Parts: sequence; C-alpha cells; structure tokens
Amino acid sequence: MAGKAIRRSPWINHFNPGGCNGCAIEILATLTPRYDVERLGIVLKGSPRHADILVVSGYANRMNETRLKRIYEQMSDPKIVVAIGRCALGEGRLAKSYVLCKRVEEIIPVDVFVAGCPPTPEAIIEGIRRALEVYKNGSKKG
Amino acid sequence: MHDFIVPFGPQHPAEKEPMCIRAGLEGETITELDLRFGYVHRGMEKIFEGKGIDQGIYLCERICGLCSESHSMAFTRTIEEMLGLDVPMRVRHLRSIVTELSRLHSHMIWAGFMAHEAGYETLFMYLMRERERIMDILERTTGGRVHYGINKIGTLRYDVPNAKLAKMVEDVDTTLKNIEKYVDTFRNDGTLKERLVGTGMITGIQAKRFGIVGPVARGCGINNDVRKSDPYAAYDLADFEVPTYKGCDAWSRTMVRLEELYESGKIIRQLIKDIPDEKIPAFKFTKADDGDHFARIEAPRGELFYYLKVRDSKIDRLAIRTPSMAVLPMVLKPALMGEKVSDLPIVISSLDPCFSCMERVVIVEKGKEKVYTEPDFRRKFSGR
Ligand code: SF4
Repeated sequence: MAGKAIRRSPWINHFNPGGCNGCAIEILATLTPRYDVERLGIVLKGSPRHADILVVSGYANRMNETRLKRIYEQMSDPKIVVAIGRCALGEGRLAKSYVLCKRVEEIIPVDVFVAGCPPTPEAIIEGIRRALEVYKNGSKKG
Repeated sequence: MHDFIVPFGPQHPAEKEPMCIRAGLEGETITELDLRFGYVHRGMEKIFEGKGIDQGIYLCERICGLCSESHSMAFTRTIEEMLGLDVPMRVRHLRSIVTELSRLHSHMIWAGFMAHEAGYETLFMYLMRERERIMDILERTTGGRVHYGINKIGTLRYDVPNAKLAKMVEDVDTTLKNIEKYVDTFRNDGTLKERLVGTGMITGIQAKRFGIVGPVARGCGINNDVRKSDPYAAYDLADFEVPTYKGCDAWSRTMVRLEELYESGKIIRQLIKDIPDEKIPAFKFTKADDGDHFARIEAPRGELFYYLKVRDSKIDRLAIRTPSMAVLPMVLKPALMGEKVSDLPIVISSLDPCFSCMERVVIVEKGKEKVYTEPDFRRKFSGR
C-alpha cells in the first residue's frame, strides 16, 4: 500500500548540509510553474517525518553530520536518498576543506546521485524519477 | 525569564538554508534569542590559500549560489585594481549587465520567499514564474543558470553578441511589466501591510551603530550604495536612483528591494543602449606581482568586501566580508526582541540572509561575539 503511494506521489524533503545555495535554488526551481513537479505528484514537505525521499545538496560538514543522520533516521520506511550536485558527490575543490569530514555517502546510504554544479532542474527531476525506479526494482525493501 | 524555548532549525520548513535559532518565549513574545551558526561553514577562505589567481574566480562563485556573479565581480575588481589592469569598456558594460541580471533574479526569489512566509503561496509561484525568464536570459548569455563563470581577469570568457543583447532588453522589459501587478500587491495589499508594517524594527541609530549595509540600511533611511559611492565596472555611466525608505521595518525593506528591481532594469537598458562595439581581448594572464589590495562592490544584499593578498602569483590570503555577515548577527536580536513568534520567519526573510555567504569564523553566542583565534580554531575544527 505504502509502496504504491510512494510510486505515484513521492513526498520530498530537502536538506542542505553545507553547500552553496546553488543546488538549493535549483531544487526550488523544480517546484515552480516552469518545471512544476507537483504535476508528477512530487510535493516538497517541511518535515522529514512526512517525506519519502530525502534530497541532500552539498557536503556534510562537521556541524551537520549528526543532523543529517538524525533527519535520515526520522524518516519513515521506505526511504530513498537523492544526492544533488557535485558537492554531494564528494568531489571538487571544496572537498579538501578542513570542516568537511565525510561525504554524504559515508553518513547515510545514497540511492541516486545527480551530478552537476548545479544540475539543471530537469536533471533533478530525472534523478527523482530514477530514485523511484530503484525503489520499484526492489533493491530497496520498505 | 522565558516560559519555554522554541528551537528553529537547523532543518526547518520555513528556511531553505540551515540555521538555528533558539527563541525563549514568554507567552507568544520572544524574550530571549540564542543564535547558532556554522551549519554551512565550509572553510572557504582556507581553500583559497595557495590556489592560482584564475582558479580563484571559479572558487569564489561557489561561495554562494544566489550572488555568485557578485563574488566573481568583487574578486576580479580586487585583482584588476591591484595589478592596475585597464579593462575595456565593453567588458565593463557586460559585467555590469550580468550583475544587474543576477540582482534581478536574487531579489525576485527573495520577494517570492517574502510572499511565501506571509502566506501568499500563489504570489510566490507567480514571482517564480517570472523569474524563470531572467534565468533564461542568464543561461542564454552566460551558459549557466546559477554559476555563470563569465568573468576572467581583465576580460570575459566570451563576448555576448549584440543580437542577444537586444533580445535581453525585450525580455527584461516584459518581466518588469509582468511583475508590476505583484509589486502593487506588496505595496497596497491590506493583509501584507498588516503583517509587515512595524514588524522587525531596526532604528536608524542602531543601523548606523552596527554599520549595516544594503537594502536593510536603505530601509532605515541610510543612503549607502557602493554603485554610487565607489563606482566600479560601468556604473558611473548609468543614471539610476537609490531607493530609500524611512520606515525601518520589514515593509520598508520590502519596498526598497522591489524598487531596486526597476532600477536594475533601468541600468540594463541604458548600458545595453550605449555599449561600445569593440573586440574583447583574449585572456592572457600569467603572472602577478606580490601585493595586497581590497575592493568592494554592491551585491544584491549590500556591500561585499574583498581583501586579497598575492604571493608568488598565488592567493596567499583572501578575506571576505559578506553583506549577510554585516547585517544578520548584529540586527537579528534587536529586530526580533519583543516580536511575536509567528513573525520570526517574516523578520528573518526581510533581512534576506544568505547563510552560505555568511558562515565564517565569527560565532555569536547569546549576543556576545566570540571570535576564534587561529589556535582555538584549529583545536576545535581540525583536531582530527
Ligand atoms: S554542487 Fe555546486 S551548486 Fe551545488 S551546492 Fe555544490 S558548489 Fe553549490
């Protein structure tokens, strides 16, 4: 039952654990009339407890490491994580900084990466679609 | 003296960026504030050290996605003034135009947020729809939606053909005409006025004492704009006004930013009209003498200050004072004390903070400012 709902209408929650705003505003742009992900049933939710998909943009710095983990734990099963941007991939020049101890991947399991700095809104939507595919193919059991 | 504490952030539905405020409440009134920053600290200034100068432009755009053009503008201004480079007029015009475009998109996203916080979801969507046209122009002219990467030291990465510029004027005009309705809503709507007028007061005296900048200062009647007082790029050729309001509240700041949209439109139109036809020089920067310099520009949120020290043609030290840093930690407390807790998101939005820009070494704890010295800092953050 829950599986069906998630496939039809995934609710996403966005957390920026330490990137520039670039990815965040592109995620925001996907919600606006031009790209309008609501027509696909995707809704941005404020609370992680309501969300099926966690969208992470940016590195996790020391301050946010535990927060990111906590947000992930607060989400109810089944949960999918989409990491947006090159920061979240753990690449780039910024990755050499002293405060960025871990990649997002090392803190929470990531299902789909969307590369780009920042990726276009189309790419972000595609990333979320792929995430649902990952879920459908059963590599993730709820 | 508070009944209970309401935590706000770091992950909060009303804020797109991680920040953390703990508000002590007495009934519904905020009586105590505890600000915690550092959630998007990335150690940017340290990353710059030892990098080549032309790499600096790439990096400094990544400080913040909203005002990326302002950062690269400030960086190029600093290094060009330091080396005494002569920048061709066409390059200067194009730089100013792109900066103004990025100001348009930044202010529009902010206006959308303001509407969103006040409960006008539809207005937010309308504004964002209009903003996409500006994003299209930026993508067409520079190749990027967020990070443009168009500046090079002494020149641009590529020229923008005149035909594109003509189309640009058309699109900017359409956008500004379309948003007139929404600006009117902000100006005249009863509900919005009720929520914004008199909310988040910062008196003029406080504003002067804290040395705040940008639209927040202009909303307190302080006329300060680097584009006027210390013109750079082609701003001395453009004729524009600096809107100021004396209300000192959230509504005044809103009006200042909305009027700036039209001023930016004016600047773009003028600069495109008399852009000189000349060839843009190729990028041929190899070596810089040792030295240091500082420069400032007007970012969408206020005065952006760069200090750059060069050694062996490498960046030795880069210190940045971003407008959000100048504004937010100082005025958040006076602006929020005594307000209702439901106004908290509105007041924060009206200050238009940008946390990615802001998170440097200063940590504010309960109103006391604590600056970390280098050994402290090392112990705290890199003792791994
Ligand atoms: S990937 Fe690029 S745009 Fe996205 S948060 Fe990182 S630096 Fe910013």
